[in-house]
Amino acid sequence: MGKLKTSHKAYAAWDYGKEIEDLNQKSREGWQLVKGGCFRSVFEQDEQVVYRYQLDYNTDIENRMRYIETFREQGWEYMNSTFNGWHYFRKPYDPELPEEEYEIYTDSSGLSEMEQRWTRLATILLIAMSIMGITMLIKGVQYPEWPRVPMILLYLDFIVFIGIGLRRLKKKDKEYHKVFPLSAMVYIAVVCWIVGVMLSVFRPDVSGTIKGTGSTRSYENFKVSYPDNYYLDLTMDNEIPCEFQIVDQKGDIVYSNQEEKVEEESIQLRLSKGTYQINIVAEDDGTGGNTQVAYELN
Amino acid sequence: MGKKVEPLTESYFYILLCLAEGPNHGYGIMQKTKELSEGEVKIGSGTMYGATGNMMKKGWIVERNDYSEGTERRRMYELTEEGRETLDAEINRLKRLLAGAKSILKGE
Repeated sequence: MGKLKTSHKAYAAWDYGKEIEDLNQKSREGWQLVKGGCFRSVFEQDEQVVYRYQLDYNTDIENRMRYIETFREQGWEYMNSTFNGWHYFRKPYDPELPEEEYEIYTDSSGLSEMEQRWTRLATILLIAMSIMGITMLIKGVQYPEWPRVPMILLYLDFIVFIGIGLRRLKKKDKEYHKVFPLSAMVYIAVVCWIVGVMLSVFRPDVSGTIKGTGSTRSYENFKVSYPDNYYLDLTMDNEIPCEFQIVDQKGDIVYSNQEEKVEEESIQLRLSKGTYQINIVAEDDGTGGNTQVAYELN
Repeated sequence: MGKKVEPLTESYFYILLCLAEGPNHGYGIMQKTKELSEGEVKIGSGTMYGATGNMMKKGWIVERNDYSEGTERRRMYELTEEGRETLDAEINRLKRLLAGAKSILKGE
């Protein structure tokens, strides 16, 4: 067995032509693919042979034996499949044979069956992503806050990436472009995701339920790490005068509510960086009534 | 006139045509097609698998295993009654096209 090496080069689905070309090139250089993968491929050094490779995309193989046999009949050696429906085949290269012997899809009209299958999947994905992206965008307009921005960009990144791919497949643009490669999409996605998670982690998450009879006092401190809109859910059911307050570090009241009965969700508060305090003060007016306050801020 | 049928692709047409003279395996169909089309039509493995799978679903062909040739089992395909009708309909369609072309171009 020859020397082994591993490659982590990844290709977008519509760049499968480029992947095949690269595999053929590697084979000519003496590195033979032994196991193909989306993110990890293994090559073995062997300068005695030259192979031609083919990739098939098919997630709906009702008879695996028949599938592999149909390829074997024409000299294709089945290698392996990836988790997401790509199948690797190879055939020893013979310069005597015409190029068409190394094709697996030979219907000339329109997109090949394989491309049609891929287009269907990509279209469904694109629609699903767009619906989720638009829902996020609407929520973002209703309740603006910074962590939503990278998440919306994340969707946009996917949508543009798949959109470009679909367009190129439909235009039968087989040339390999560096415009928006898979790596760029993945980098943007990872950065957006990390930023989004960080912004969420550094948000205050305070909540509490206060129940009391007669005069009651309660307070809780929280920290705001970056200026943004924060949202307060507040429920109050008080029989005696009670005030719910949020006070900043200078003592200024940011929010106050003294109503008897409150049931409000997502009250928008614009808070700058700093330390805040939630104060709940109930004053007994002689009736000895009950106080009940529940709040959640994030 | 029967039900409206879509024209067959070249691969589909040749697969049905090759099976009209008796059961055959994928490789045999591919070879025969090449011969009949004078090398113009080659059916690649991906196209072959998809086409035969589709035609089995439509009931135009059926799969059968052949044990008669020595010991090696070979997967054979056989034309059904429905497949035969589809092929005939396509041939009639092509004849009509040709007849039309001939009648127009006769005077040239």
